[in-house]
Amino acid sequence: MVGKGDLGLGDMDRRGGEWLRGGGPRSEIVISSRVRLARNLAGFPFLACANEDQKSEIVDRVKLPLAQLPLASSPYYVDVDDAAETLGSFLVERHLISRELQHGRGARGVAFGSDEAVSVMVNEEDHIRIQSIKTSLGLEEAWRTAVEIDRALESELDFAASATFGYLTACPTNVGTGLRASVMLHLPAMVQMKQIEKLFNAAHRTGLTVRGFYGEGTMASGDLYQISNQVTLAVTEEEILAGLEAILPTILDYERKCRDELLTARRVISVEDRCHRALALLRAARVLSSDEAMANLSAVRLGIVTGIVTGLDVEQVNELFVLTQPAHIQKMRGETIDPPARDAVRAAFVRENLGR
Amino acid sequence: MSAMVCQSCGENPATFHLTEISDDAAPGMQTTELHYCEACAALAGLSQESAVPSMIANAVASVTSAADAAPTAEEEGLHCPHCGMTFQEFKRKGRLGCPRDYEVFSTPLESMLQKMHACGTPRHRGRVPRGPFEVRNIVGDRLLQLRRELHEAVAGERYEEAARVRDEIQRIEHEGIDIALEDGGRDSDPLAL
Ligand SMILES: [Zn+2]
Ligand SMILES: [Zn+2]
Repeated sequence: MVGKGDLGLGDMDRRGGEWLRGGGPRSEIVISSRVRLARNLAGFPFLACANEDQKSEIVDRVKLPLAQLPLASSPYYVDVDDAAETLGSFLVERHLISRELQHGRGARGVAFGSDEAVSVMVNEEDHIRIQSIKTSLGLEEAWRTAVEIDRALESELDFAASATFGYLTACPTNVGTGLRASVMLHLPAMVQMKQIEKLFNAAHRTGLTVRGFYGEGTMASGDLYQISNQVTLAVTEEEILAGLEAILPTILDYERKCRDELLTARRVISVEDRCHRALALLRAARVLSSDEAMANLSAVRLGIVTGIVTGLDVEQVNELFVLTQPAHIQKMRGETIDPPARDAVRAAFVRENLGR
Repeated sequence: MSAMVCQSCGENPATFHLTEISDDAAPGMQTTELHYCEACAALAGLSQESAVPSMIANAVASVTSAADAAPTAEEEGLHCPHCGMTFQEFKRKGRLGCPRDYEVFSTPLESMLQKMHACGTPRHRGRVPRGPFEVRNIVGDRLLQLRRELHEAVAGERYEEAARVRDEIQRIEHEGIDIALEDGGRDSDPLAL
């Protein structure tokens, strides 16, 4: 296994993970599909009651099977306990770890392949969190990969489980399947047409949860929304995936209708104006905050998928959603820099990427 | 850019969205959408990553209010011998202490699980790990118990005892079920003495 602390992460700060590539089914709206499995080792307390020695023992126990995972490449392992603050944020921005893991205490870490399609967090809320993420609409594929990883780990480790409650998790909201499936959607037209409540209503009716790009606190960012299942017990994994898939046509249809409406003769000039201004701003700005970047990237993305903006592709914009985040900007510079300086570096980076 | 305004202050844009399970005695799950700004979310104790604990707090609140607020004496006294977690502490933290807690707290957990998972019978229907559960659980429980003893021995600076327990853990991990059965049986069955 490669990588300790900051070493070996190569040019990760200059490119996005595979899941940002786009181009798959429904990629005009669906950014990515993700599946997460929560698992705990039998014979150990959950993390709330584990002492430091036990946490280290869990990490030691899990590291070897992680090194042997059937991944695209030899996995990186980052010891998050030892990692610098910026590296932790960098991994959060890439969706490889959660804020909870970043800000946790004691022995903990993450393993992931170089394509970032799979990551396994150790000692987050549960001993093990397997994450599999695919670009565009690919829940089935993400699920198959997660099961493969689960099986590989299970052949080396004993997971806590019971016949009644299934896989046992630290929080009873994850017990049973331990499965959280989610899709990340780009819904700029629904936001613009003030129809985004339809998303919440549709999710509400079917017991699904809505979050922002980086979890609950980030809803405004880039018109990006994640929907995921809430129920994990007394349902099968297939039912969970089917439940999430079943709601998608409705939401995709809302967004498409809103896009069509924006493109009607009456409105099209103002959308064209918005998309081209956003692109012009990104190509000209000398100072660019993270929020401003996200808002304008969202408009440019809408412009690309509706044919208003030509000569750019969706992947570039998807990647910039992540690469323009604060820790990425700092990592590019190789040092900690204050927000004003960061905004200047971000502006230069975006100009370079979207330049003609 | 969010289309919604915070439900609490009615001023800031709502950036925190949460589906909560509401207090409802009727069968099936009633959910409520919450839309808060960052500040109000923090005030309400719903920090960035805490959607899940608040859901628990809510499910706990609804269960306990249904049972006339105060927990029963039985619930109050529930405590896991393996990790030391009490039911009260679980309600405060929203996290269980060890895999055994699902059995130890099974009675009060049952109605919480029904609400959280919107189900009549909170029984697992998904994939299961390989191997029989009985064996897995006997070994797991025995190891939990030994790790607890190890922790206490180290805390009490009883290093000889700690070394002995550590050896025992290794022995069980290497040799597995037979030994766990033998030792677990001796501990829990007085007739075996
Ligand atoms: Zn507010
Ligand atoms: Zn316990």
